[in-house]
Amino acid sequence: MDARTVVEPAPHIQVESLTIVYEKPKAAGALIAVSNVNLDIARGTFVTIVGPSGCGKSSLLLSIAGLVKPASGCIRVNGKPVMGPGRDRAVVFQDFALMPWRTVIDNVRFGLELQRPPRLTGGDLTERACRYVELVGLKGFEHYHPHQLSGGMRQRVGIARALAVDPEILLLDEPFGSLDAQTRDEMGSELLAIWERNKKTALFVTHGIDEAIFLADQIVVMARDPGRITEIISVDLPRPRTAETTDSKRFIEYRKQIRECLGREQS
Amino acid sequence: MKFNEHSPPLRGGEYYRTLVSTITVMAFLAVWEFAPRAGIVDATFTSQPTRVVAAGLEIIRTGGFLHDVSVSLSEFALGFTLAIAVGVALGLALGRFPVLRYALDPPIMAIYATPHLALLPIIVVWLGIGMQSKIAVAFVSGVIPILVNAMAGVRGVDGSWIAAARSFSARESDVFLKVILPASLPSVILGIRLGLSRAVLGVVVAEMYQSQAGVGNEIMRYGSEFRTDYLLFDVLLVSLFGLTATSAVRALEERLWTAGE
Repeated sequence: MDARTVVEPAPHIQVESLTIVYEKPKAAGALIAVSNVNLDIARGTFVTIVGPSGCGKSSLLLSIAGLVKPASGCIRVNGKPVMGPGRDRAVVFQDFALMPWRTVIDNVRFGLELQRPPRLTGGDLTERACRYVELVGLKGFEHYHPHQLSGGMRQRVGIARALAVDPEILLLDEPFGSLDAQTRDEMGSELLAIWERNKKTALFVTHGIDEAIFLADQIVVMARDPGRITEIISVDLPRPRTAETTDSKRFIEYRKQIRECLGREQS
Repeated sequence: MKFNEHSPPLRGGEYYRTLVSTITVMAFLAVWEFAPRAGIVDATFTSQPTRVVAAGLEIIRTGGFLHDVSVSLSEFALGFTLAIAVGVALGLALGRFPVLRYALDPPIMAIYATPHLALLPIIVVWLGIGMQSKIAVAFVSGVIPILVNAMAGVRGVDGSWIAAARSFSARESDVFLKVILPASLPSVILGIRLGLSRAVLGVVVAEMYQSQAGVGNEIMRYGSEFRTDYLLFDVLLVSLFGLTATSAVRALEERLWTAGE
């Protein structure tokens, strides 16, 4: 089944017949995480990927990030094949992946230090990091260490770190997966508020159906064994989205549609 | 105070704990001092705190003492510095590169399992009874815990930190300097602390075995001359040095952990 959508003009991210295979450690054979996936993502859209665990949604995201090498197929960003990580993309990780020995401000500065934008001094980097710490609402916590922060605050640091390098594409791998339900909703709203400011292309992996609908312009529904895309749903809900959005009739219809889509695969 | 399921809560906290510890030490010193006076034991064998202090004052007054201390300290400093340099560098490399680990794991484990001090006769045959053999013993004793812990530190680095660095297009050198090195630093320091007491022991025992100078040499001489007070003063000196140095490293370690947890 070809689940490809055609978006004009040229898509920001193009995934072509992507297959990702993991060698099984001891047993013979290999695990096919993603099988022959095609996907186009338009510039400035917020796309969520939803599916059961083991459907390869994270693998797909990490291969777009350049962190996982595909077995076959091709990923293009701005028409250029992805050979590895690049300055045009930044990742927000599920387990936050913050350096425990660095303070909040130094964690946010981490990506900047590695990328060393030309003509910027160390002071410029700190200043820029400071701006992003403020953007995610952590002003006053600059000199805290990650272990002194709540889960939600830690992921704010993770988001600030990704945004600080000013990527074109934001890749979020189940960023709120380990947070409690209430914090997750708050973080979703705040992420949207930040995204509305400059509308970077965003790809967001989740297993939460409501979260997937609430954030997305487009929802990519995946299924497992092997990991593949079963449906792409365009979400026509007005922005900015609020708590009321989730109570609307439309929202409930989308929820039903995705549930059916996921359920069909399981039976 | 932290809740501890193994013991009932202690009243009075830190102050109470210090008080109890002090009482134990004072009681021990008192028994040591007064048991010979009461004729329960012979002070020739057990000595007494006051005698040890007196012996210490006399040792310090006589000329040879400073020379012995400086010989022992130099042996320790040289051997242990070498152990840190080689242990940290090799340990980090072994943790980072599996091929190196496969190649060197058997010999390192063999050295780890060998009682180094049993090699003293050979080391003396190779390097003589001068400072070189003691430096070698300090090195061999100290290097293995440092190496093994540095290696474990690197292998324990969270994969997601490395992935995060790579996602920002980190170069290999930056992955090492900004992730692997700071992440394994607590383990490295722990290894240094463990290696330190072994190196001190190595120097003293090597001096006791065959030497011309050093605190271990003095201990051996006082022992053969049956001068218990003098011997105990030197032993006390060595343990004080070990305690101070270890505490200093531990303080550094604790600062790293509180910053890094």
